[in-house]
Amino acid sequence: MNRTGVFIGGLTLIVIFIVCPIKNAMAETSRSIPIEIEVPQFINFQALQSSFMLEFPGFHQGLASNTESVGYFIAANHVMRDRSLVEVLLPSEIPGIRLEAKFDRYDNQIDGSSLIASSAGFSKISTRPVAMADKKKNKKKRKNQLYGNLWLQYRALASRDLEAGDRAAVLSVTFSDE
Amino acid sequence: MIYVQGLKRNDVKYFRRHPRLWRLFALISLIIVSMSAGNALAAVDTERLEMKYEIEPVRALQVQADSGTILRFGPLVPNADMTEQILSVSIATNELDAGYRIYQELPYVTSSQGNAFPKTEVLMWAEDGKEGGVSQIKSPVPAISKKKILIFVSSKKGGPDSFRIHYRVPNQSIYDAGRYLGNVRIILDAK
Repeated sequence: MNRTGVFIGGLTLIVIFIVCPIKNAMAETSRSIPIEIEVPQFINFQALQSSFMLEFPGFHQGLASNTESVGYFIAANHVMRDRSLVEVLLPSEIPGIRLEAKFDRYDNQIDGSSLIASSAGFSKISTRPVAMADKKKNKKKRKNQLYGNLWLQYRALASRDLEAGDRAAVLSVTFSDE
Repeated sequence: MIYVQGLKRNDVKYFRRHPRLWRLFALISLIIVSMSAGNALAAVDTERLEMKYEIEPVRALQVQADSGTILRFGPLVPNADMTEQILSVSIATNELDAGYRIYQELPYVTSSQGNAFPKTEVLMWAEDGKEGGVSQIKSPVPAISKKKILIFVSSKKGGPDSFRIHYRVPNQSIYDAGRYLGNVRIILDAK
């Protein structure tokens, strides 16, 4: 190929690489507008029942009541905490009664995180918070979300002989996400 | 033979016999002609020139959200009603007999923590144009996509048109807390 051929070839390439993109750019017009989606941090934690009853078969010290399973609905979208997400406490001690609680199960309703027991078996509930559930670590995209039902089991033990009668106490269950 | 206007043949013969008078006459004639030319320069003149002009083809695209300069959703409270935002698109063009297409690009909507908003949780659909353009998404489709989505095709003759795009967040799921941002790009492309 002589010099003239090389020159013409080069000129053609310049035209292709410079002119054509300009033509394409002219054929396309665009406008942009930002999109913003605001999702606030929220927790929805509520018991599935308003009360429960523990009954003793007798009044003697060392007797255990029946075991009652109580459900709690949890929905949260910013669960950064890994341990002690659910804690139980008694605002005031119940004379002659040792209250115990245990993690029963967690029914996950979305493909998010899950809850597992903080400790095995029943734990004594006192005026200091006792951890019931930890977050089960996963690598899912929705790892900071919880949406499902948590079930805790309660039972009572007579720490002394009990007098006959109905007694009521308030139990406090707290969910914390961070 | 040169004849000067106003001179008779006999007059010419007379001047030939008297060359000095001839030269004098020529000089006076020259002065008169020069003065006439001067007057001609000072007078109004009109020139007619052929003029060519070219009007560049123009395609102008305008987008406007009903909520202002941003498509804003939220705060999204769980189980609340879905929220909808409308984007008005208008095309001004002086190109007749040249159709065009409108595309949308929204590759991602992410929070500052790097969480991506679920792709299937932002839906979009478009109305037909007021001037004959046809929507290509008449029922809701996911708006977040790495590909350009064809949303509107002009009538065959092209020309100005306008239409509306509806964006929805169904809000039927739980989303990670955060402020998610993205950029909706509306593209006008020649057919």
